[in-house]
Amino acid sequence: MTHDHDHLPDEQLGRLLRESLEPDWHGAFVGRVGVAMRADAESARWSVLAAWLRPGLVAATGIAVMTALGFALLQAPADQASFADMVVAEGVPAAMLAGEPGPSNDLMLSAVMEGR
Amino acid sequence: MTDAELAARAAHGDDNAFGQLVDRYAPAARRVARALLGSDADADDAAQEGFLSAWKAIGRFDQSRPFRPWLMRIVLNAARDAGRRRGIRETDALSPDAADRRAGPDVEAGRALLRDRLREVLATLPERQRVAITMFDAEGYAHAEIAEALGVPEGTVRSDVFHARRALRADLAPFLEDVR
Repeated sequence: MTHDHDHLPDEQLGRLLRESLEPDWHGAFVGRVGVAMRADAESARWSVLAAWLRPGLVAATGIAVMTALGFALLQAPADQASFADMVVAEGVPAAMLAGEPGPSNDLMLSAVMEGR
Repeated sequence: MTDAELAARAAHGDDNAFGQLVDRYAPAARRVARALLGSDADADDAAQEGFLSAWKAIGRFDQSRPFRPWLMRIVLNAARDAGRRRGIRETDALSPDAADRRAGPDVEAGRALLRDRLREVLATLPERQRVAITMFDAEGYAHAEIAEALGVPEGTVRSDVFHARRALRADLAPFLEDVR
């Protein structure tokens, strides 16, 4: 006979408890846990991707902007060189752009000598 | 393969090894969750949640310690969380017809009646006593293992088992005579 103070399991109560609490569909339950594990792993992978998505987009946008700026800066000297051509194309006389040539050095020197 | 070996493999990403541990401990985990929650569906949800939590935490499991109290502690925490979410009370009142059934157990249906009655009486016990007696008497866990799973001293477990047995036996005495 089993007593309350025994250090061993109460066999009668234990058997009744197991019968009373006995779960069914053991295989189905194990399978269900397996499915949940796979779903959780998949969800975790997507979470990682989602976590990287925002900073990834920001980084990609930054790179695109920097690339565009760099490209624009590289193009800038060529644009300045063609400014005169653009103005001519707009109808400004070429003489205005060319200007009168200044007096030669010899002429300037002789003027100074005569004035002395 | 031992629990420790399977746990070590699972910790290194072997999901099949963890599957074997689930297969090994699912019945006990589900029974303990049922003892705690009452509802079979809620208990299975909680047991599943417990296994999932254990799977995620297997890398942190100290392999020098026994696996099953560690696992059962996680399952119990999941069951308690489920109980809190569901808003269950610590003890449920006995159904009105329970006393009538107790008065005259039919020998033919005695065993089935006894199982039902046992779950009803079990539900009236404090949560810790429900877990302690189920783990000790039904699942064969040692007092020390239950203490570790419940996070209480071993003496508390012994006391809980003692009081739970006394309550169950007092209430089920007429049934127990029939099925002895």
